[in-house]
Amino acid sequence: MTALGWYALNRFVLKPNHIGGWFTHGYLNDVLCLPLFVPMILWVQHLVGLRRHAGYPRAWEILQGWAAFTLVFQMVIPRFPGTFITAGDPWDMVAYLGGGILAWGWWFMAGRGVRWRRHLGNGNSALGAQRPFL
Amino acid sequence: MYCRKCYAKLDGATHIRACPQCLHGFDPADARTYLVRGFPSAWRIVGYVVATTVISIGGAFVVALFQMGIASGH
Repeated sequence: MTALGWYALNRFVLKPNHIGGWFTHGYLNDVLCLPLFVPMILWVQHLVGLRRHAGYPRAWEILQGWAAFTLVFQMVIPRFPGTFITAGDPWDMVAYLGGGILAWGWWFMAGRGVRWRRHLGNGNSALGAQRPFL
Repeated sequence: MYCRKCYAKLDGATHIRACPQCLHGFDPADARTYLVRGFPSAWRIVGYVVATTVISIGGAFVVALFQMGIASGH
């Protein structure tokens, strides 16, 4: 939701008013890419029954999203300039990764808060507190 | 003995023949209905990674298609 708020701020306030310069114009949306779309992709995986828990994204899931977006936006889409709109800028990959690392830190801290509250709540972490491996 | 569905320990649940966590049924006499170790098999992990990667790439393509209608990046 924070990423969605930043996306709206960038699209409707920062970009039209030329605030923030090259970063907001070229890379802020790329930084927001993984925080915005990884939860949606994981939600689809949860809906189809692949992801059995609805917990915060794990580091490898964020890395998987980074690989998927890098593959599509830096390797596949630039081959079809007539169909898709893309700059094919290699720095986009760094921006995706930066956003992913920030989001992972955010979700890790949020997950710690949930685990801590659960620990205080029932004091029983033997069965219920563990997420399944997959 | 571990649940095939959620990998929870089944040691204390042999009398009810169901996982205490997800209620998935099992038969202590039938080794096909439970796991010996509380971890998915290598094939299952590979299948999971492949399937989730395909969904992730599909999601990225959906974003690219959405981006076709927007002049400024995603």
